[in-house]
Amino acid sequence: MFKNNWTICRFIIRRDWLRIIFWFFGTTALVVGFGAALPNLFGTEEGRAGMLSMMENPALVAMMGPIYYQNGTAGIEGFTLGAMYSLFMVIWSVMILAVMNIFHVIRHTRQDEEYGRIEVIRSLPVGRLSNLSATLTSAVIINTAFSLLLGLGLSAVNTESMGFAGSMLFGAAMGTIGLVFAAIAAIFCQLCANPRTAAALSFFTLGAAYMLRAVGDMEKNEIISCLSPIGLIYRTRIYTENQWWPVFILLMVTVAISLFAFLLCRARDMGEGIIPARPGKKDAAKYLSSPSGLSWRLLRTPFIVWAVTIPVLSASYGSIMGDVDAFVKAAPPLMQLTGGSSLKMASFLMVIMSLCSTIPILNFILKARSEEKRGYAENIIARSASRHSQLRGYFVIAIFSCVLMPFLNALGFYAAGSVVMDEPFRFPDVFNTCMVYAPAMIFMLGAAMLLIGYFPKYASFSYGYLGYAFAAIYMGGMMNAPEWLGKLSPFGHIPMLPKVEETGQIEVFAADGTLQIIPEFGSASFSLDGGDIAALSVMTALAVTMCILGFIGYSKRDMEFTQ
Amino acid sequence: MAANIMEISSLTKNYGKFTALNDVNLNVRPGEIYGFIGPNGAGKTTAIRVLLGILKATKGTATIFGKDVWDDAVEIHKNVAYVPGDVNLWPNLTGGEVIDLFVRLRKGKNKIRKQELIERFEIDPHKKCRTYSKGNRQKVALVAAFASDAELYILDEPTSGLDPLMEKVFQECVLEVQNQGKSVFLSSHILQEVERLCGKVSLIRDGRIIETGTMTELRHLTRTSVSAETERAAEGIEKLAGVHDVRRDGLKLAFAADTKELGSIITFLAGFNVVKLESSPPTLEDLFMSHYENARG
Repeated sequence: MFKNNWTICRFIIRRDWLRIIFWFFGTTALVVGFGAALPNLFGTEEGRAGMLSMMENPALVAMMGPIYYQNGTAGIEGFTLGAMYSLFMVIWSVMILAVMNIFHVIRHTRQDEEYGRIEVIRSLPVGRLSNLSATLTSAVIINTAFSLLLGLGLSAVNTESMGFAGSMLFGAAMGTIGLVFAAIAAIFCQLCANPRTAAALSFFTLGAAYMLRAVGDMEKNEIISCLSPIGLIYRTRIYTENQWWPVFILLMVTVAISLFAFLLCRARDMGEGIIPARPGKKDAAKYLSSPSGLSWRLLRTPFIVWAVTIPVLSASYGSIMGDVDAFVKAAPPLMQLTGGSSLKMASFLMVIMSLCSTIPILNFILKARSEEKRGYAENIIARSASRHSQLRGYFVIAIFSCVLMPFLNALGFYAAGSVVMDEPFRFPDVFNTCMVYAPAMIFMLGAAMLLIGYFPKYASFSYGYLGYAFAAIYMGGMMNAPEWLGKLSPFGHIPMLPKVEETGQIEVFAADGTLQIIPEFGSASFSLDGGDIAALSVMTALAVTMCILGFIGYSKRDMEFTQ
Repeated sequence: MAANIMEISSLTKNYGKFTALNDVNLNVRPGEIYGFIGPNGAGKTTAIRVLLGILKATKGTATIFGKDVWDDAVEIHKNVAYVPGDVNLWPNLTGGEVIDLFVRLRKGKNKIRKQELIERFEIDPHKKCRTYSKGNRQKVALVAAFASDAELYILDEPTSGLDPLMEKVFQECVLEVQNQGKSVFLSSHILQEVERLCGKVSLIRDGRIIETGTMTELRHLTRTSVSAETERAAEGIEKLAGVHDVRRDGLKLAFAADTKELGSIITFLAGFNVVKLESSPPTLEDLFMSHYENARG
């Protein structure tokens, strides 16, 4: 049954070593880097107090998890850097490890099976369960290595209140949660006949586990939280009380789930799933009768996913608005960015949200290019459909998103903000604040259209341009980069709302007793002046021109294929 | 005779310095099955993509139904059915959905024909395209093409992934549409298929048309191989016009004959009391090979 397990396991690691190294480096850099940066960000008690008052908000408890205090001492005394670190990083690390393990298991079981690689392996003298067991063995090796790497890395940082025992527990907890999701993915790989369904169900389980613990933590119901593996991981109380029992429970659960996966694997034929694949549609739906109908059919799922993700993301931004006042003053980089004004913080969050919601727009329009590159568009253009009609479907969805996404941003931000804020913004104000970015999004779309029309090989550079826009905003805000760098991206020309005037300066006593001078701000304005409207109009006109040029270029050039 | 369905004159396509098509001339008449033969990389697919308005010609003109293939692409395609050589289908759509989409894009609605063809080509229309093999994807494209009511069928190596049984179904379909007076432009490197189906043929190599003609005309250019056994030794056959490469083995002999001299050669042989006579007509392969050898030599 398990013959040649080790040979296959070594082979898996050899095939994947580069990928594994990337995951190792990326995750360790994030986890350890944040640990090292924490004292600079929140070294002062005032800083931690600002953070604590924000994190006590039920919305943030649901999002980030329950707060644990050093030795159970509630209040700022017990909210050490270590306590803060585990509050911030546990959920991120859990997500990273879970995603990595789900992908790992699916890639080496279901996906290889679909590509027919397992067939070759199985024709050799190997056991029937060897591939699954080798995949899980490799997961054990990778997660153990990860645990040690993270544990030792964090200990090496040697930040105050983040000791060796806690660091090793952090590593072990992360390795364990990785294995839990590896085993869960292994189950779905036996149940479903194709890798995409297996991945979808695994991620659904991950999401459900997160939601379950969010509900439990918000309601302060320990039983509900502990039903979720992610909830259990929080109960290790890393850096505060260092509990090992959740790790052992989860390891036992993992063994049980894996055994079940082996039973299922033995019970099924290769290439089949325990749940038989649903036959697809024999006939096409009514709307699938034009190029636009096809582009909607192809973009439907991503469109729905984005339309749900974007407001959730903006709601998570909105939810920090509750106690943001203390927070912006507490953290030096944020002070530098906002001058201590929560309104400025809000307008900065708006840019970030707008930049994030430009990703789906580029995604939708570049689908037109990938259809062409893979030779699918040839099927359409060779029939009685014009170049215009081929591109139009993707363009319409993309440009509609340029209006929809800002609206969803406003909706999410407003909904969460009005729950947590004492004096919530009015919805029309939030709407204006988000909608001013629509011209910049259309401009990005126009840039992508221009590339698709005239330089199809370089169409994906539009993502690079968006990445530049991101960098320019961040650097402009936090590092005083020269202004013209920001002006190279359309987002640098958008009037940031709300507008707040610096009315003077006030003197305050900082936590360490020194006198600090911080700016004082007047009330916020959400209206645009004539100059702003002119700038937005010019940008929209340019953007529309680029889109039209894109259409012209696309109808005049050769189709370009990959071969 | 009606005007040509398809006319290509002095068509050239350059990619930078590389010439993919060089001064191509070609005419397809109504009701004709036209074979377009050449090795891989000869320019067959490029030519077809130009004909479909997917690539723009560098020089020369090409018309289908008297309309320009680039400017009036959409209008032309209403009456053209096309099967690409490399059928790329959306992995997350089912075969049935793709066939419907393709038929509808030509504004066709022929449910019965679709069902009939799905059965003849033995496709499972419920399956997602990602699970289809190359042959099955090709069958999906063929069903979509033959289910549409076109005047011209452009088929680019349509049988390269099909098994012999399906090849036969394909040939039946081609002959059916010909009987309905439709034209077929068939690119292929499978010579037997072209021989069986096509009335007229063009050979393309390195972007140039090297030979055009009916199958009969082309055969005349080549030699028939003859092997015979006679009661008396066939003396003097070497001196006959059109006889080449004579090999003898006792009373058996084998030689190559110019096809146009075949009659007089047989008459001559009859005088020696023929016991056995086999003659095999030149295959397209011979034709092709002789052209290659010429080009090399």
